[in-house]
Amino acid sequence: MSVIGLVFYLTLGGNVLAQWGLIPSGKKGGAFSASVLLAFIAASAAASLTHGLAFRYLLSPWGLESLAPILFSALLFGAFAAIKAIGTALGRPSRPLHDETLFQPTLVLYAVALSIGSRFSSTGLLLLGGAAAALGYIAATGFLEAIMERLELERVPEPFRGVPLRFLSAALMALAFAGVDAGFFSRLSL
Amino acid sequence: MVIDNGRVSAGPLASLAGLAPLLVFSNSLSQGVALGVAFFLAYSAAGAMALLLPARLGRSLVFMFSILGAAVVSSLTASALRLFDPFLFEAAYDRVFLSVFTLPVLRACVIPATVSDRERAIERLLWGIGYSFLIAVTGAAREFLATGAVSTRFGTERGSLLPIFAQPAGAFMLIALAAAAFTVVIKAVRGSES
Repeated sequence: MSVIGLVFYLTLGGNVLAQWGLIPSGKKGGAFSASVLLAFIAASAAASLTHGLAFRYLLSPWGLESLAPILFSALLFGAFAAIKAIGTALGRPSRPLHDETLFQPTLVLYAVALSIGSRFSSTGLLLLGGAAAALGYIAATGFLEAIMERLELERVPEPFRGVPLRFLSAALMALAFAGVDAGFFSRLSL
Repeated sequence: MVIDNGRVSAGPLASLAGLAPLLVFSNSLSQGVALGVAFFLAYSAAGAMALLLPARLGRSLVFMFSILGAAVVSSLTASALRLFDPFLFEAAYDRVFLSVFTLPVLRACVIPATVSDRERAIERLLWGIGYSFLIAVTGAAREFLATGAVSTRFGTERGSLLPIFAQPAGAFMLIALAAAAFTVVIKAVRGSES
C-alpha cells in the first residue's frame, strides 16, 4: 500500500472512531488548539512506533504477546514521567495522569498503537500510520461534533436526543466511511 | 441518574460511550462472553487495587499501580483465552488488551475521594457485572440479528439475516436504539412515581 493509500485507508475504512467505537464524549467538542492537535498526532506516531517495535522485537520472539497491555502501561508511565520532568524543568505544571480529560486520548493512543502495530512492521510505516490514524480520528471527531451541532437545530424526537443521537450519527458516519472505502479507495492501487 | 431537560444525561448512558469499543467488537455470543469476562476481571482488579492500596501513596501512584494490576489481569485473561480457544484469541486479543484502557476501568483506577465513595464498592462491583452482562448480551443480540441464529462456538458457518448488525455501524445503531428505549422507560417510571 502506498503512502497516499495508507492515509486514505486510515482516515476512512480503517478510521479508529468508526471501526473501534472510540466515540468522544462531546464535552469539549472540537475546541482544541492547533498545538494540542499536533502534539496528539506526534504522540500517536510515537506510541505506534514504540509499541509496534517493542511488540515485534521484544514480545513476539518469546511468545509473550499477552504481555502487550503491561508493555503499553510501562511505555505510558515512562512517557508521562518524561513529560512531567520536562514540564517541571520549564516551570510549567503538567496535568496528573489520573485527570479524567486524559482518559479518552489514552484510549485512542492505545487503540491506534494496537491497530497500526498489527498491520505494519517498518519504522516509517509505523510512524506514518500512527500519525494518519490520529489525523483520521481528529477529522472524524470534528465531523461528528459538526453533525451534532447541526442536529441541535432539528426537531429530533425527545428520546433520541443526547447519547442515542450521537451513536446514530456515528453509525451513519461509519456506514459512509466504509462505503467510500469499499466502493472507491480499496479498488484503487494508489 | 439525572433527568435534565427531559434527557437522561448521566450515569449508565454516559458509560455506554466508554464501553463502545467493546460493544462494537462484540458481534457474536462467544466474543461477547470473552470480552465481558475480560472486562469484568480488569475492572474488578482496577477497583480492588484502588480501594486496597494505602492512600498515603498518593493518587497518581495508586492510579498507576491500579492500571498495572488491571494490565496484568488482562494479560492473564488473554493467556487463558489463548489456551481455551486460539482462534478466538487471534480474533479478539486486541480488544481484550484494550479493555484495560476503557473509560469505566480507568475511572475504577482512581482512588475514591471520600469515605462514602469507598463504601460504595459493592455498588461499583454490581455495575461491573452489569457492564459485562451488557457486553455479552450485545454480542448475542447482534449475532442473532445478523445471522438469525446464536452459536456458542466461535467461527462456525452461519446464515445471513441483517448482516449490517455484524458491522460497527450496526453496533452503533443497536446501542442508540437501546439507549433511546432506556430513556423512555426511565422517564415513564419517573412519571408514574411523581
